Amino acid sequence: MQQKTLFDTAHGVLAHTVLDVRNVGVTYGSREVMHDVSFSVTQGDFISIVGPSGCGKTTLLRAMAGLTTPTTGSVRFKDRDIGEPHAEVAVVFQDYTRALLPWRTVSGNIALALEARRIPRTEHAGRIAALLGRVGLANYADHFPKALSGGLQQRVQIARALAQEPEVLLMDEPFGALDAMTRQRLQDEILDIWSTTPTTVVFITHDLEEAIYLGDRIIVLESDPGRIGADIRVELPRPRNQLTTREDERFLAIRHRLFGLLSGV
Amino acid sequence: MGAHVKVLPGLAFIIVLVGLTELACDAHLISPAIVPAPHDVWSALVVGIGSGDLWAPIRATIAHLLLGWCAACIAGVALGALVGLTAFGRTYVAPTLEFLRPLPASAVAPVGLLLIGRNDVMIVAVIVFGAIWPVLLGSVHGFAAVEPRLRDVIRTLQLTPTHALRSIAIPSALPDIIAGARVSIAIALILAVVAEILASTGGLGDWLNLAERSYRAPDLYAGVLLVGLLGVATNAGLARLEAYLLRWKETPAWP
Amino acid sequence: MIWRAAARAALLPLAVFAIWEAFARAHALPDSLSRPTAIAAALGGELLDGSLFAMAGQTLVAATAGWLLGGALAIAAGIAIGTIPALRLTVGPALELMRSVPPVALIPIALLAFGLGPKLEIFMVAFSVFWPVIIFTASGVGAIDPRVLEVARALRFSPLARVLHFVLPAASERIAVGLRVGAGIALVVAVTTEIIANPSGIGYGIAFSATTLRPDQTFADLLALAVVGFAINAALVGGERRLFAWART
Repeated sequence: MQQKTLFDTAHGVLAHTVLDVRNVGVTYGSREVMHDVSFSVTQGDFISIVGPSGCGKTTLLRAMAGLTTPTTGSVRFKDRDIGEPHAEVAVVFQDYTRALLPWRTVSGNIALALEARRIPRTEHAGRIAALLGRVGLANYADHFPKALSGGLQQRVQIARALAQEPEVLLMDEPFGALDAMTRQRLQDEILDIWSTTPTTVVFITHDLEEAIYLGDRIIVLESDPGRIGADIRVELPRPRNQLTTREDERFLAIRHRLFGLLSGV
Repeated sequence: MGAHVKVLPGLAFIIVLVGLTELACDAHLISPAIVPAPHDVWSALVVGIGSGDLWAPIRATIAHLLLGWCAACIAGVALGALVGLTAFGRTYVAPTLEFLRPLPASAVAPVGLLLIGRNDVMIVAVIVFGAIWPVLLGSVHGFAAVEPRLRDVIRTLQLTPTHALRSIAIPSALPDIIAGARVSIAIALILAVVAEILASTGGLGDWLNLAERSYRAPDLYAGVLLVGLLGVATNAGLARLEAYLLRWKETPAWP
Repeated sequence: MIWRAAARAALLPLAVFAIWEAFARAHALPDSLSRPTAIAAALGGELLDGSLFAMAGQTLVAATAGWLLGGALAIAAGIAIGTIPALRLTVGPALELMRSVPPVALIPIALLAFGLGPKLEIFMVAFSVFWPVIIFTASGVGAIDPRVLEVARALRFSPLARVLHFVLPAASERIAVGLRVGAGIALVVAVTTEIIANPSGIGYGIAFSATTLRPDQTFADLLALAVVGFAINAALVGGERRLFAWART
């Protein structure tokens, strides 16, 4: 398993910017929901975006995904404006049950992404098996989503997103609806997946500790209107560990630093 | 054994009822012109089918029914998709459809007679125009109610419109479509009978009408039994189809 | 706000009528078709000379009478079946068989028994309304908590009093749904009977206009029927909602 260290990431700065958010502003009617948000996402990074409810995190993610067009500013993916969703930007939604097809099995749901990419039927079985293995669902290939727990359903959605072989994986509070233990397990799983795949992850959460635990870099959004409150690098060693990393001095220092920003709102 | 025992009282009741009717007819307690003796009905049935007199009407009605119902379902789903999946359809077309929903379907029959005349085309046309409503409205509802999150998924996965229709819209709307189709076939049977009565060109409806006019009660009741049988058979058939197509719903939920 | 929605809803039919009228003026129509203005004129004529109200009245009176008759019998029978399991077991299958016969197939039989006239129509409506009401009643009664009935028995209520004060109120929401379904069926069966066999009502009006080749009147009566059906349906849905708002918490 590769280790993503600060050095690797610094190396990555020489690699290109894969997603560029430029002066994005979103106004609904007379309400300004997002104000002048700008940041660049470097290829290979794991970025956490954290903020309280209502700060526009989901709006920002939808703009980055191409699902909505910002009122002002733009989002560029590989030097092209994102107006519509792009096949190489995959999205994992928080409401996994509603994002899966209840009438298809787990394999069938993953196959949907392969069908969209026009991958020949003959290759489906192999690819699906590999993906199921990656997310730990090898025994559930023929189950319907209804018969799976929340954590397992979310893994199916992640597997489907990975089936797109995306450059960027956008995750909208993916573990928000899960219990604490499942959440921790999936946090480590997603880190494992990210470290073994050439993907960039943008992870949205309202949980500060989750944001610090997962990311190379944290962007804190304040609300009313949504805007960047802080943008810092996380210099914690990888691989992360649920016990030791969370007790690390540097972890606590970042937590202290950002706590005020979040609770002040 | 347990399940069979449960059927006994019901079966016994029916046998007793038939027996009582037979006795009442023999004792001339009821007029055989209105309620014929059951054994007469049975022989009318057997003779009619054996001689072939009853076969032609049965075949004709089944043909009208299946042709009309299938056409109604195909048109209903297609139009339902157009109306349910487009904002234009939902705003401007759906309200008119809702207004027409309570219109009795049999009112279409005289209009069909007026416009087309007394022939098989009229019968099938009446069935189509009357039976399309439940499956059309069911489709509109089903297509309009596709999970909004799946619309996001369609876009992020970049599914083509045809692919999205095939793999997401139709499976999602299928329960409502099938529910509509089941009501449709019941209405199709009713309209087949009504149209056949009006057209007088054959079919079980015509058979019933002629039997009534010539006071042939046993033949009339035999025809009624066959219509009832047709209704039961089509309903049971569709119930089976529904169970098969929607078997994913039977999965027990976690845990 | 509702006016805007209603205006938008009316756009499609108005557009259809306009195109139809324009086409009819430009080309000759077959004898069996008619133009919207002629249909409107026929409708107006029927409204003015009262024949529309007479026809609608006949249909509604027969449908209501049948609905009340069939509904009352079905509620009584449904309570009996719902409270006496042995009865349900015995009579149930026979009922299932009888209700699977489409009512229209029974019109010729009813004709033999009653001849042409309002009795025929009332019988047909009552027969057709009987089935949904008895099923919903039996299901509503069967869903009553048995302890409630035990309490009623322990308090020495007579069977009739038990039914009136305990069973009926508890099952009333289900019964109301059955009656509403029955009302919808009542109109349809009444009109169907009129089309085939009864010389009165809107159904008869449509059939008569069609067989005498008066297309304008046929479509006018059809439109009137659509309005009547819509009005009844709206009244039923609204009434049920208001009566049972308390149950919806």
